[in-house]
Amino acid sequence: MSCVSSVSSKRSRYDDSNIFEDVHDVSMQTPVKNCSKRHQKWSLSIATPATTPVGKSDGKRKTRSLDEDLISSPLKFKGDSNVLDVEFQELSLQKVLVSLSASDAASSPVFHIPELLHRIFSSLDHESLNHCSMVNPIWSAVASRIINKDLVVQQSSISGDLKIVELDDKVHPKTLTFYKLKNHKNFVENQLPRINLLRLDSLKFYISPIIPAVLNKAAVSNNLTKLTIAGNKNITDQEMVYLIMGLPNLIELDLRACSQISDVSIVSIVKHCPKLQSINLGRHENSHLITDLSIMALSELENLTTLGISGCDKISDVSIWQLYNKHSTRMVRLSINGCTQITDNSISDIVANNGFPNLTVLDIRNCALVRFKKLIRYRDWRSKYLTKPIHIHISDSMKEEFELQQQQLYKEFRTRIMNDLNKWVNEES
Amino acid sequence: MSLDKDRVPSLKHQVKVKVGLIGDAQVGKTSLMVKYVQNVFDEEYTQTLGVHYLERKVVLGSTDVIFSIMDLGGQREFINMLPLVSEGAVAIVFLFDLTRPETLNSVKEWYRQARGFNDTAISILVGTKYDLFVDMDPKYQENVSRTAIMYAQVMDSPLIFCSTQSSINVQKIFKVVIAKAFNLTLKVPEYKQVGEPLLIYKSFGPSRPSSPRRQVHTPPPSS
Repeated sequence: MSCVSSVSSKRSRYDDSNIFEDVHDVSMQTPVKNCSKRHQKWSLSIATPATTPVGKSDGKRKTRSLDEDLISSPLKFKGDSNVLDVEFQELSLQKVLVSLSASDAASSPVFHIPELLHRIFSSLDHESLNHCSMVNPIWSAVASRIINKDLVVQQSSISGDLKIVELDDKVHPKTLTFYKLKNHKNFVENQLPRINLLRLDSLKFYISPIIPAVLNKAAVSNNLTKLTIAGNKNITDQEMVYLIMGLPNLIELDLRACSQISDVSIVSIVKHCPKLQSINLGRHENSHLITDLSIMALSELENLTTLGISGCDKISDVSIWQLYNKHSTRMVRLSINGCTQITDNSISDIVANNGFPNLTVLDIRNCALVRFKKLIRYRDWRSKYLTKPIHIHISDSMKEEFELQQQQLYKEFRTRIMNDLNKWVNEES
Repeated sequence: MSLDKDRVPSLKHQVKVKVGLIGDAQVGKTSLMVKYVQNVFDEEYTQTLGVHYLERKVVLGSTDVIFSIMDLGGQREFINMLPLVSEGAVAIVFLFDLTRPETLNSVKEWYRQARGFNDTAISILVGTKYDLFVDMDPKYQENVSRTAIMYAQVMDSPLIFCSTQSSINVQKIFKVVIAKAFNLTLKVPEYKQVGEPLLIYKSFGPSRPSSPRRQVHTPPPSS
C-alpha cells in the first residue's frame, strides 16, 4: 500500500500527467468509467435473449432501443480498416452464419459483424471484455483478440484473484501490463506458460515487483521497445543494470518513483540502450541520487527527445546547457518540475532564444524561475509563426508572478505599437 | 557557450484595420483604393460589380499595419452588400465627386444606411477629383466647400478633398483613419481656405480625451 500512496502523492506534487502519465491514465482509468456504463446498457439486452427466454415482442423492443443507443453513442474508430479487413477474413461469413443459427438469433444483426464488434470492444475495459467473451463464439473470438493484444494483469485487493481472461491456446500479446500485483506466483505458474512473449513490444510494471521469468522471456524476443517500471522502490542499481543489459532495442524507459535508481544505472542504460528516445527519472525521494552526471551521460544518446527529471533537485544549469549543446533540435518534451537548482540562466535563456526549436512541452512547476517575459514572448511567437506551439506548464505558486509579467509585457507591446503609429501618422509622406 | 544569434525570433505586432469605401457610382472609390494600395491611376472607368477588396501592409518599426480596404459598387443594386463593407469596419469613408454636387447630396442616404449596420465606425467625408474641381468657377468651389463643411459638421467626420490622379491627400486619408482610431495627436497642418485641398480633422470626429475606439490587438493571454 505504501507504494500506492507514494505514486499518488508524487502525482499531486509534480503532476507529470501531461507528459508521461497520459497513456497510462487513459488506458487504466478513464475508459473503465466510461465504458462500464455503456457495457451495462449492452449487457442488459444481450443477456435477455440468451439467458432468460422472454416474450418475443419484449426482446425485440429492447433490441431496437439498443440499436438507437448504438447509433447515438459516439464510437471511437481506432485502427486502419485495411488491417481490420485482413484480420477478419477468417472470421467472416462462416462464423456469422453459425452464430445466427444459435440461440441468440433474436438479437440485433449488428452484433454479428466482427468489424463492428471489434470497434465497439476496443473501447471497453478489461472486465467488460471478459464478460463479452462468454456470450457466443463470435464475441469470444473478437474479444480475445483485443484482450490478447494488450494483456493486463491486475490483482483485486480482496480475494487476491488474478483478473485475467481464460487463455485458450498460446496468446501472443503485444503489450503486457502488470498493475498493483503483489503475489505473482499464481501468474507465473498458471498463466505465464501459456503466454508467448515473442511479439511483445511493451512491458509495464506499475507498482508491481519485477517478475524475472517474464523479463527473461521478453528479452529473448529482442523486440521490446517500451519498458515501464513505475513506483518500484525496491529495485536497485545492480538489478537494473542486469535487467537492461538484455534490452538493446529499448526506446522508451520509464523509471518514475524508482527511488533507489542512481547515476550508476543511468550510465549503464546509456551504454546498453543506444536507441533510447525517452526516459523518465521523476521522483520525490532520494533526489540526490540523480545528478548532473546522469544528464551528461544521457546527452550522449543520439535520439533523446523526451527527458523527465521532475524532483531531481541536484541537477543544475550545467545539465540544461549540455542538453542544448547536444540535443538542441531534438528535444521535444522536457519536464524539470521541482528542479530548484535549474535557473533562468539556463532554461529560460535557451528556450526564449529558440534554443530548443522543436520543444512542445516544457514543465517548470515549482522551479526557481522568475524571468517569464522572454518565455511568454517566445511562446506567443511560436504559436503565431510556427505550426508547433509550445506548452509551458507552471505551478499555482508561480501563476501570479507569471500573469503579472505577462500583463507588463503586453503593456510594453501596446506602448510600442502606439509609438510606431504615432510616428507614422506624423511623418511626411 | 553562447546562443546562435541568427535564430533569435523577432515578434512583429499586427494591427488590422478594416476600411469601407462608400459613395455614388463613378466618384472614384475603386481608383482611390487602387491608388493607395498599388500607387497607380487608370483613366479608364471600370464599374465595380459588388465589392472589391484589397489589402495594404504598412511596415513600421515593430508593427505591421494592415489596411483591409473594401469598396462597394456605387449602383443601387449593390446596396444589399452594404453590411459586408460596413460591419466590423474601423472607419467608413464616404466619397463624393467635387464636380457633381448631387453626389454629396447622396452621402446623406449612404451615411444613414451604413450607420444602421455599424454605428461605432469612424466616418470620414472625402471629396474626390480635386484636380478638376480646382479649375472650376470660384463661386461654385465656395458653395461646394461650404456645403461639404456643413455635412462634415453634422456627420462629425473629418473632411478631406483629394485627387487620386494628382496624388493629393490620398495618404492623409488613411493617416487620419489611424489617428482617429487610436486617438493619436496628428500634427499635419490643416487646410481650411476655400480653393485649397481641404483637410479638416481637428474639430470633427472623436478626439482626445475620449477613450480609443479600438483596442490594439495583443496576443490573447493563454492559460
